[in-house]
Amino acid sequence: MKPKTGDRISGQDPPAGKNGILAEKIGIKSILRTPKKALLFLILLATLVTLLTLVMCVHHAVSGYLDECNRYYHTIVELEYMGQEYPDSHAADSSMQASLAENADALQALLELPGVMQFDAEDALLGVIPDQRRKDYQVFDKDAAVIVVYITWWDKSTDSYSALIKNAPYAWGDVLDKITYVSLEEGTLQPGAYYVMCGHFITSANNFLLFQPEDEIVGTGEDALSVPGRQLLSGETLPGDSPYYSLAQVYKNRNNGYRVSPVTDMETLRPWQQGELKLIGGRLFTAEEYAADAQVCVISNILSTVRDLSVGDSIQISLNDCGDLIYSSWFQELAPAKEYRITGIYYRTKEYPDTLFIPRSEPNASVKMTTGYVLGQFRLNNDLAGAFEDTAERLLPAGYKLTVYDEGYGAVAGPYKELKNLSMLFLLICLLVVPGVLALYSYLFISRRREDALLQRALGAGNAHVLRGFLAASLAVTLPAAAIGLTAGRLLEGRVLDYVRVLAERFGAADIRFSSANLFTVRQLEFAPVTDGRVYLLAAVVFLVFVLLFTAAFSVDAMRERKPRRKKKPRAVHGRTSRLSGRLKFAFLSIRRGGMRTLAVVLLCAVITVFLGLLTSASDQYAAQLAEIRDNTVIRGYATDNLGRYRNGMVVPARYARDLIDAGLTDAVYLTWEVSNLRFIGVTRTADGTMRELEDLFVPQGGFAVETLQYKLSREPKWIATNSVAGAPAFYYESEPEITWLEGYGEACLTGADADLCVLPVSMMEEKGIELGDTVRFLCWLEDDDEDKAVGESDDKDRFELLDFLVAGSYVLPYGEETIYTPLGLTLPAGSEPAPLPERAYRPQRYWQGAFDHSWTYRSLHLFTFRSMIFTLSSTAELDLLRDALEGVPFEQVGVNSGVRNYAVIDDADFVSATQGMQRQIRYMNALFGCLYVAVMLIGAVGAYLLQNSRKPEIALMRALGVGPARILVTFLWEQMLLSVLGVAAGGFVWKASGGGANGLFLLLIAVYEFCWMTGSILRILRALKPKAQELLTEPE
Amino acid sequence: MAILEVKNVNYTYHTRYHTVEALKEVSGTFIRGKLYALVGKSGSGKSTLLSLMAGLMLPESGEVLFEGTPTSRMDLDKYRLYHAAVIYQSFRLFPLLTVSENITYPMELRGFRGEKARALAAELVEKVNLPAGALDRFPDMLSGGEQQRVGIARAMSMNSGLLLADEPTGNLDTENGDRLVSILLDLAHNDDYCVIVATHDLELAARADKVLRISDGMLGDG
Repeated sequence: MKPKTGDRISGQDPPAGKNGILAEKIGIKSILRTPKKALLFLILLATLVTLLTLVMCVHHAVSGYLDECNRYYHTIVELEYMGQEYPDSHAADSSMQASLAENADALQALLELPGVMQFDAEDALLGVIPDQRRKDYQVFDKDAAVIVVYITWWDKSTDSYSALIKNAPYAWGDVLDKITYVSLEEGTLQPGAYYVMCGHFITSANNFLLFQPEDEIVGTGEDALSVPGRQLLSGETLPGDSPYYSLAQVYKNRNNGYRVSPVTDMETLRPWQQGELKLIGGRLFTAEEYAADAQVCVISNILSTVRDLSVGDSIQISLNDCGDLIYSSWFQELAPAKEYRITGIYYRTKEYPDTLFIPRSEPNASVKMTTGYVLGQFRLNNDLAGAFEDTAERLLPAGYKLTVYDEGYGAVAGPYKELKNLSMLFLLICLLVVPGVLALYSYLFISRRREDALLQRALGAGNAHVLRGFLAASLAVTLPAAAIGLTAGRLLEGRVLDYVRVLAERFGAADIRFSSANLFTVRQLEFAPVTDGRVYLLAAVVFLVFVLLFTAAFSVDAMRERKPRRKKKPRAVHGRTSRLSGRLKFAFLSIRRGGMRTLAVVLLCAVITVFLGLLTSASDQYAAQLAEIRDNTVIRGYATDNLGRYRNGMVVPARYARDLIDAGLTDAVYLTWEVSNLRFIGVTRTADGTMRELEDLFVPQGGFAVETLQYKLSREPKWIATNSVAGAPAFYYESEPEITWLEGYGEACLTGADADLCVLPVSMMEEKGIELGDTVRFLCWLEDDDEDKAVGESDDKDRFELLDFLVAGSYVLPYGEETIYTPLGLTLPAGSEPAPLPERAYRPQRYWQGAFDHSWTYRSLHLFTFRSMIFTLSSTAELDLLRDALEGVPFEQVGVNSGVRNYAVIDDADFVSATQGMQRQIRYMNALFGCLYVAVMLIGAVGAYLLQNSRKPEIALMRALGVGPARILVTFLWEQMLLSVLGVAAGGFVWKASGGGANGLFLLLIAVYEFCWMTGSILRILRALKPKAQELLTEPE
Repeated sequence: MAILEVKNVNYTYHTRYHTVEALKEVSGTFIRGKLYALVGKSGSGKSTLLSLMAGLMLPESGEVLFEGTPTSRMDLDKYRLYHAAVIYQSFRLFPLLTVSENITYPMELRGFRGEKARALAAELVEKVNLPAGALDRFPDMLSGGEQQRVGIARAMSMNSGLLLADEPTGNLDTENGDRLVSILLDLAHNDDYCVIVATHDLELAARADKVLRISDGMLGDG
């Protein structure tokens, strides 16, 4: 077999041993003896390694930080029912039960949304500590009682019975042998008889006890009894088997019991996650305790004090699963008490019910009813919270609310996510540039040594010998370059990462005072990356692998025997002589006959024009989108409690509303003022003008009858005076409130002086047979408070009042309680005229003057407090001014503890997130596009320079023929200008045809590009204008 | 009267590592109607002297006089355009211009353009024994000999009376080389040109009217 060239069989390789490292020695010597070129390569490659290392470090640090954030932050979404007592955490709202049943499917669908890791339904057990009698103010139902009374007489003036309490199977306070008044809704009692009664005491202003028996009490649960509200007894002794004892036991259990909350992860439970509850001793539960359903507990500081308990102590608790609403079950016999060891004690706030926490291994997934309005919480994947919120908002039934608590993950991680994308982009660029540069380096490095390779081969060296020499020479440069680059990277890493931190702070530096985006930021994880040697190792490996690959590849190519180049296909035998003449002739002919050269210039310029068009239009699109968001977003804000919840029942000084209006930054300020409660009496006049006579109503003038009626009125629908029904809290989460108006009336009538109008819920109208346009009569209790007196409203005492209102509108109750809206009688802003209303043929006899008289109340706003306030910002451009204005009023931000106790929130989280994201993208784009613009200009200049390079012989010949430099310059510049303009025009045409537009930046960049192109051409022509004589007179290379 | 005179010309090349005296006190006189052959070894200074005579550079000392005027006092661009025509070893034609356009290019530079220029180009092509069809061809459609004849035609179009050639036969075969020498001789003898040829070609030198030898930068008779 014929040995191959270079095969060891041929004996051409030097023997191993004394000549074994000859190839390497020669390779290294070749580097050492060309120090300048070697240094140039060294600097280039070291810079490359530094860049690669830094980009990898940044990407690694940012990715690591985001992973850490993901572990550190927990995003939860709390699901709440917007009941009538919302957000009272102690309320037991029976309407929730029906709503939950009705919306079970929709709520179940939420559990299946992407991003949901777990759902913890709010769950509570009734925990009873043996011998524990609660005396604190949070006792669930301390007015409930089971008593045996002796009826003494009927008191006509108070419309009630006077009675002596002879026995009290259950009462929270000491009532034995005390006199109480008994008020009945229906029926009578026999004076001189004994009765057992179950019901509630009503706190009286004059320290007398007023007891109101229930009609009947029906318990829940399997062993629940039905107990009548009262029962006649033959004597003062209650029979031993009386169900009233059972009822008394139920009251005792639930009033002395604690709320026990089993939790699967206490840290992520909203009050803990948001820092509302804080541990003041001990610890939370361990993973093992959760997994084992251990008998440990965390108790409140109140219980700790009352029972003198410390961490490590044990406590006996009987845990009773109520199955449904806690405190409603009929436990005649409690579950046996078990011993629980206390692991921690927390500080309980007023808003949170006194709760014992115990660990649980599995979450309770089925929504059930508990006290308060929290139905449960979702634990979400941090990054999918936004998507979950968007989808869930669409699925969520009316009357429910989702609130995302991300602890600040979004605000903290947002900028770093953008930076991660950016670093990924740079990393990708690096991973393209590094092989590119190394391929170029290897090519140049080897091509300079190609003759050496051929000579070595000619002298009998084998392929392996030559390859080893090349690799040694290459590594003699690249290894030190890698070492220098990695060292430089290590030295610069800290500074670069500091800059990344500063950059992230700048990205997230939007003003978010009062912003809903800032509501739940409770934790801050510092960006503190540590050096990871693996990154440096990886950078070195990537670099050296590419070096070895390319060096080997080009070495093999250099040693390969080359086939002779294929001869050029001869051109056509005939050309055509141009008839052109004059100064532009050469340029035109050169363009016309330039072939690929002409085409290349035109194509390059056209492509670059389209590319610039794409870049500038992308900038434009982003700017347009940003402007669109800014123009089309309506930003609202509201006065809130210290937890940032939008609710009624606030205390907003009217002066604050006035100052906010005076700031001139709001389009609208919607206010509500809770006047009283209204009991429907009847329709006094129907819409068609028929008058109706109503029976005289007994209105007590004093005593317990007044208090009883007041108590009853307090359960009637609320009377809210407002300047916008749609702006009332009940409609805050409704995108399109269903409000119907009588012809000629509308929202504007609520600001005017025509105050005897009302807007009623449709449900109430249907129940009472009321039509739009009817005049209806209500009974209410009006308090003559000092503030009203001061403005000269009335000198009357507190009183019951009959009021007639025209039903001018109706609304569909979105959720919560029935409310009767009447005009606020306040024209905002000051000086504007109230809307004209239709002339009314009939005015009710009792004319309600309105909550305010607009002619003077604007000046006197400081005299009032509102129960809610919503405002709408006039222009998103003035958002920061609004923040200043709120600060100046002064409102305080939620979560900030200061002397100011009035809080406000601007509901701009989505806007801030969208605009910030957009602005960040625009910033990256500007940075990236800026680089691309510079690159394009460089391509233009270098491209023109290189293309002119091939014209060097022509220029030299012209010089030899005596053509002056100016003429040569003009000739070639004409050619280049015509070509580039042609290319730009072609590109512009393509861009326009594809629907692109031209803005100022695009035109400017095209002009700059043309300038760069011409500059590149000029520089090369000027260089070529001075040929050396030898270059002309000798054979060109 | 001499069309070109070289007086005590010195020229030194300075490189980073050494200095080379290319021409030392070179003097000579060149008249119309003769073909001069400059011969010498590689690096003897032939091309340097030709560059000085062609106005591509100026001597360090001494003078090159064209019809009695030193080139140092002349605009070298104009000198090359109007007085010194050069033929190059590698032809030096504009690749994108046709033969006709290559020949008329120097004419147009001097303001002689249009049909008259093209007619003259046709005449010159005929004179250098190129077929008339060659006028519309591009240089790369022609053989080396033909391209060199285009170069001569272009030189003749300048009607300068002085024609300098640097190794004109260096890239040609014997037949084409002979033909070229005949044309150059014809130009010298019949058209009263002063033709100065730098060459290694001994046959060409043998046919020259006068042979000048350059050795170590010194000019002497061959």
